[in-house]
Amino acid sequence: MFEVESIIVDHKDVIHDVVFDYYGRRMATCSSDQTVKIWDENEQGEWAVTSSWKAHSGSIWRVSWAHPEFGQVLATCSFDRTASVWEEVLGEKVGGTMTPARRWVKRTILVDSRTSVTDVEFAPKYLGLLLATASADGVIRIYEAPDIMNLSQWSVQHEITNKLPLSCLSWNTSMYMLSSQLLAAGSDETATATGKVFIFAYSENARKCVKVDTINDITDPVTDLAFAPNAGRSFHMLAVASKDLYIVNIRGTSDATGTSKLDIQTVKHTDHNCPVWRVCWNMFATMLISTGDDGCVRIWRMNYSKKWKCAAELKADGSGPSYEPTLNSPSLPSSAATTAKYYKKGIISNPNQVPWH
Amino acid sequence: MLDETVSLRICQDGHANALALNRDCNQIAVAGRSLLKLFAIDSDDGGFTEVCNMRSGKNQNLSYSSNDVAWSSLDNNILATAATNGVVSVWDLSKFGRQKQLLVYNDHQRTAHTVTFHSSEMNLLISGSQDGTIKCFDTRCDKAVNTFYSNSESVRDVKFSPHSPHTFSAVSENGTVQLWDLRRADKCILQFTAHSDPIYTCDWHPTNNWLATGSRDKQIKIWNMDGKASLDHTIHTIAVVGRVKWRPEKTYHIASCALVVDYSIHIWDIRRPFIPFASFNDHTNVTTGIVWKGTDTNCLISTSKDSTIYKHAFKDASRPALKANAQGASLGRKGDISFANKLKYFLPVTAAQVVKSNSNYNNNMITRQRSMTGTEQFHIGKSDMCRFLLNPSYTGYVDPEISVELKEHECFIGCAKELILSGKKLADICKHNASVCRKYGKHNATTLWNFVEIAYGSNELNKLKYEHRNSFSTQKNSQASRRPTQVVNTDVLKWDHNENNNVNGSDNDTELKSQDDDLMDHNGPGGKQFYPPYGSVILSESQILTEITFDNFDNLRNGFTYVGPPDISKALALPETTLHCDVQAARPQLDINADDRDKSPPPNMPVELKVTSIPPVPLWEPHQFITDALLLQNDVGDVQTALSVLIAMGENRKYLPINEALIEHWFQTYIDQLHRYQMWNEACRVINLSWLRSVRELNQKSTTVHTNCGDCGRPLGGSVGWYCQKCKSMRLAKCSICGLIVRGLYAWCQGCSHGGHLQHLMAYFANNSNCPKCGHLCEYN
Repeated sequence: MFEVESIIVDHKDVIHDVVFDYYGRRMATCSSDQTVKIWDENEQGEWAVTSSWKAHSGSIWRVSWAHPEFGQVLATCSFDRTASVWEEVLGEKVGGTMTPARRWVKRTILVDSRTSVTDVEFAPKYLGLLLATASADGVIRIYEAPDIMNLSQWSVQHEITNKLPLSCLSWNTSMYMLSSQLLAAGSDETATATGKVFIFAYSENARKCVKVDTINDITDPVTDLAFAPNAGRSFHMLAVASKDLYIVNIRGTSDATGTSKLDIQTVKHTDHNCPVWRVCWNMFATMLISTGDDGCVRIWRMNYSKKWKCAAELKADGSGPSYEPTLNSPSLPSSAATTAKYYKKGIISNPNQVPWH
Repeated sequence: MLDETVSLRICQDGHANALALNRDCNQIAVAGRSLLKLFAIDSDDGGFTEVCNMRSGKNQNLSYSSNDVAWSSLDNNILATAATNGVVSVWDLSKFGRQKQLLVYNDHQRTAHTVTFHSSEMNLLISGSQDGTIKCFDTRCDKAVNTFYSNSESVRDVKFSPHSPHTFSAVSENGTVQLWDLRRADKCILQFTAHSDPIYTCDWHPTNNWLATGSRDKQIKIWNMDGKASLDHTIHTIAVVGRVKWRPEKTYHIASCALVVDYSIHIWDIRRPFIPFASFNDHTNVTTGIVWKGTDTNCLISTSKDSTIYKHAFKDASRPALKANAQGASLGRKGDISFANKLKYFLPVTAAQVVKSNSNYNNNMITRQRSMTGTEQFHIGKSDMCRFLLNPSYTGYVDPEISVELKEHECFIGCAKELILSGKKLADICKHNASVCRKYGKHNATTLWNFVEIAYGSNELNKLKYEHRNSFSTQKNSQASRRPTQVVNTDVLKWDHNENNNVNGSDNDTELKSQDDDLMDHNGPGGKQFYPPYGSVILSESQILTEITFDNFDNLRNGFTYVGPPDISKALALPETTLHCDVQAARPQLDINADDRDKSPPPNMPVELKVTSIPPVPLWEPHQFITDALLLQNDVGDVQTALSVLIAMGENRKYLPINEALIEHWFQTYIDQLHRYQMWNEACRVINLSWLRSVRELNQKSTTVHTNCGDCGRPLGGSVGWYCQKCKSMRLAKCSICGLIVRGLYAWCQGCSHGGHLQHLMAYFANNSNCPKCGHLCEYN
């Protein structure tokens, strides 16, 4: 089903993040070796590094692409307690080649955190040029560039302090049935058995950002979480990587008095049998991948009974990527299956003597 | 309890600048601007107890304000301090009161930064100063016995080499490292530039001939001092390096603390220069002194500007590399996965294992998978990266549908391009779209289109009047009692035809045909085609019939095949009102259906069923069905089909109880997805077909065409068309080439505002590059 193709990277230390851009046409990797690399696909479909530069003076944990409407813009966050915003600029056309030199320029450096900045993510486009950072001391900061043409001016809009250290965050991708933009953050704290995923509501108009919920079902340290891309669903989905994989459905409801609430359902998937490091959705939010500590990538798909099932398990070392079918043909409750059987038998064996009820 | 982290607040004000440990490792000296104290490390509980305070009085003498403190490596009673005014003092702890300050050397002109004792000659000590000199003192003399001129403005640190007794290193603010022989003050043995910024600290490796230097350039460099100094490793820290200290017993470990910004102490493995092996984050201000407790590799003592001393137990250290996410993964536009995974290294295979594995190759992997412990493999931090590509030619699986369903992007792009949304009769649109969906393996979507065709494709149905139903319930009931429970779709639809026609009193072919059908139905075998298997009459094409199992058909929507017993409430309460109410409100009814369905007859059901009372017929509600089908289609992630159906239905969509906010949500999603695949034309088509104001407005945003008059250069903003208010002319509307007024496509140069017929300009610019009117160099391409 899948072909494994290994890519030669000359990152000198562990790679912590791999991110495709909005169109899936460029790829950014960041590593502990304090460099960021940008990959582009050539005509033959091969990926090659087109830019590489030392971006921080500590391990770079994560990288995030801004919506292409704002230009080719990246944000990185690092162990060196800073987050930076980078923009690609086209230089002079060099020599006889018609391709101008590309260069990534540091537009701003955000130095507000006193500890390692563990995650950074641009907000959905409709909120403007906005980014959120999470840091190891439990602070979420939301920065805004009021002028989208000026990437060097960022101001802290909100600073929310949590008791637990934070390891990851994710913006929701739509506001359907919600009164305000949601932002989820996870903690990798190991000592306490309290809820580790927090939901924040960011309201642009009220200029507020407050914690609205804690998912108490998830008490293991959380390493990654991701809201599914907007896919027209009537509910919102959040994938959480922890000791197991969790898929959280969040539905915005409003009661009789008109106050909106979140209806949260958490489903735990234990197929990994090892800690999960990363979760990532495809563009349609029909497929979720999760990566385990054992080096396996698992592919999850939703069937027609709206249940997520592990559909495939891939291993990088080529030791048999396996694939179990039954995706679109949903697994049914047994009663329904017997019903189906009953009708089939009756009809196929003797079509003219269909039992009448 | 010896291996616990312990801390003590040492004073109320005034921070510590340096820390020294005595030979027996049971006492520490802490020195600061207004501080010089001794603490004993308790042997039983591992805590600190204050032993001696050498600055109890209000003595403001600058000679007491220490930059550095050193303990004699031979005598537990001898201590030396380097003061900010350049004074180097030697203290004897066996004396009392003021007598303790044994010697005061006033030789340095400026601040003394550092002081250290010789490791074997107990009388010798050296100090480095801001005046650029290193002085050697003998405790038997009251003056410096030797002066070494470093040729730099400031010596920041001096350290005796443990490998050759008379050699010491000195680092200075101009970034050079010097190696001196204690006996030769005229010339240094070796000098090299180590950093481009001031060096603040250095430390000799206890066993290897390595020197570590820490600088303002945030780097720690490890120099191999055998012969000519060579750079072995460079560690990148996050802040200006204040002090470095090799960890005992662990060859590759070195501890560092920063001069500013970073309050933590990091322990690095020099072979992995990017991320600390361990960190102590306890101090709340800059750490100024670190020392390992003798040869105890797990105990680090530190002091800080926050006026505390800490004894750190290694097990309490945070391990940033272990917490760091070891993997990265991302999904590309073609369903490909990029995956970076931290490599796990395995022990080298021993000879015995090689023999074994050679004999049985398959065992190779298993025998090798004895991984090292986390600490052992820490220094090999590396990831490998790979891509999982969907293989189009894969034949390993019998079922080709799997590859189809994973090729989601191809379905999406294909459908986005090929689906017809408007401009034809609904029935034709549905037929075409159903075949498109089938081509891409979207069976549920195919079914949905077929269903829409049947439900809404014919004109009669569009005129359905639901309020007539009630009055005919008796008739319906009598008919229903003779029908199989699988009765669905077409049957009901036909039946609705009947109703309508009856009500309208029209006596047309449809009615006749329907009655014929009914007759055939009642007669059983003859009307075979009207109760085909599974009740899936909507599947007009036999091919689909074979492809769609009852199971997933059933799941297409709970209501698609209504097989449960009649639902009285639904039959009587006419859905007139629910038609327009919120989708959510309609949900509970669905659940009832679902429950009922599960109670369908067991396999060994008697063939005949006696009907004791006439059950009311279930009212089949196509609008609700299609609504639910669309919602389900969305909830499983296929907004494309749902929205396309909705658009194609045209005015019929008004019957569907879907609220506008949700539809807008769908539009936004689908447009966003099209944008992600850079299908601007398709996105534009969808926007134009939208009936929602907020969506249609998307096309009117963000593109503004500014027009200028070609004669006077003024903007044409306020005027109509190409009429310039200033020139009072319409000349601009004319083609620059032929002079006629342009109707249709008008091309113009944004530089000079001249233009004309697209065809004319294309022909003209094929041979010219200047504007035909004004000679402007138009960049036409």
